[in-house]
Amino acid sequence: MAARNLPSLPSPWLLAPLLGGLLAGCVNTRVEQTKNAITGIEAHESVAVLATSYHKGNATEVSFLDCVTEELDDGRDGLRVVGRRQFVDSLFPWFEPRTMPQKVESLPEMLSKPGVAEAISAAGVRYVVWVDGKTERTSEGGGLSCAASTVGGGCFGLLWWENDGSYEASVWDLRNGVHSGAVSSDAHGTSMVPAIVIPVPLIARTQTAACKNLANELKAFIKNEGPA
Amino acid sequence: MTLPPRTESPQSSSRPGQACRVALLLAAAAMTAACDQALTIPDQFPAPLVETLPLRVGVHYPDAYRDYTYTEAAGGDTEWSIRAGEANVAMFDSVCQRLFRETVRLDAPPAPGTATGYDAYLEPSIEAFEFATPGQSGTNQYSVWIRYRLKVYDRDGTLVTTWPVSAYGQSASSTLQPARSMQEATVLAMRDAAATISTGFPKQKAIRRQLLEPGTAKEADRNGSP
Repeated sequence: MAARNLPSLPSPWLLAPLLGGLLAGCVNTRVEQTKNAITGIEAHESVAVLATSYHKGNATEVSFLDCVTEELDDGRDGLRVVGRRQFVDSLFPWFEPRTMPQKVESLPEMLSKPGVAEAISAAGVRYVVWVDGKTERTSEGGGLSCAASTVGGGCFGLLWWENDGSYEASVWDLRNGVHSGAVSSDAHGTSMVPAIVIPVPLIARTQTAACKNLANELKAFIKNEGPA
Repeated sequence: MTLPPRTESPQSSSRPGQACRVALLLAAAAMTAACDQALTIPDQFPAPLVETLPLRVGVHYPDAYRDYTYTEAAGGDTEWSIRAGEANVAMFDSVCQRLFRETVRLDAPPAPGTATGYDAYLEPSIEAFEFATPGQSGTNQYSVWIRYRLKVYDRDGTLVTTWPVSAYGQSASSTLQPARSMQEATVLAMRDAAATISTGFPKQKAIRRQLLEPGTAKEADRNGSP
């Protein structure tokens, strides 16, 4: 007897992204840029993404820096991005939180230190992107209660919270020694977990949205020639 | 035949209860162990990009520096044990190898006031180590402060300076890996110290006068300058 082909159900793995998209919370984003100088990048040149110093109160998440680095490096239009630790180690101690340059005007002095210009040249770094900002919870509320008994259990209620991500990336052109401009990315996300028997998390990926917008704008900023 | 009355030994009657107690103790021990944090700081530090000074230097690491481990119960429930001795030595080695023309590690310190046989003799120590967890500071950061002290002697064994070096590092908290965050904050504090020493050593007034410009210092002494 020949086996009968039955229509197969979609794999749960294929359904997961669809479900995830449907169940994501709401995120509003805004991105802006200001350009001071002509930009552009050649194939052999690269970018370094660093956080501004925590001595100045900055607390940009490492996960955000990693995300921007990956997004800049991603795709056919991706830029060459050097690893953060590799760059900072090769220029130790001049990009440590205490010693890193605070203004573009201090670049010439830093580049005159023994071996610094050579190390930057060896890494092929044309632009340093200084990231400042963070994502924080701005409000939360609601309540959720769950109960279980011998015949079953369930939850009832609604939890919600809002996150704000606000980041600014200043772009320094090391070859020309100028502050090329800045790109800012703001994201506001509302997440909630409604529960009628089963809790359904609707999570807003605020930081990821801010990261992707910032990285896409940075790509255009660095690649485009002339003021935007 | 009369069988002796059957008795159960106390040991056999309490076996299930004892097993339960042992299991509870093991669970409690596992929970306690999960709260305690023991970490070793990695001993990899980059060499600084600084100008090499024309000095042949002897370095001695006291036992307290070489075997340094900081232990503290934070908030009374979690005991942190941070082993930083090997990293301390590696950090100072990497600074000295680039900062000085030649560095020799000494097993024992020269006798006080005797000629060292080197242009300078250095002895680092740790005076204080402090940290703050997110629970203590109310932020989402692990913070580490270290205060080093660097004693610098000249070739005659005369103390040139005792230089206090304050260092700070911070790292964002990771819910599942608190030890990693503390380790990162400690590494950043040690890098901060390395940066301060490698960039600040030639700028220290006493070092500049007595080690880097000794002719000028002797001239100033002859003229009665402070």
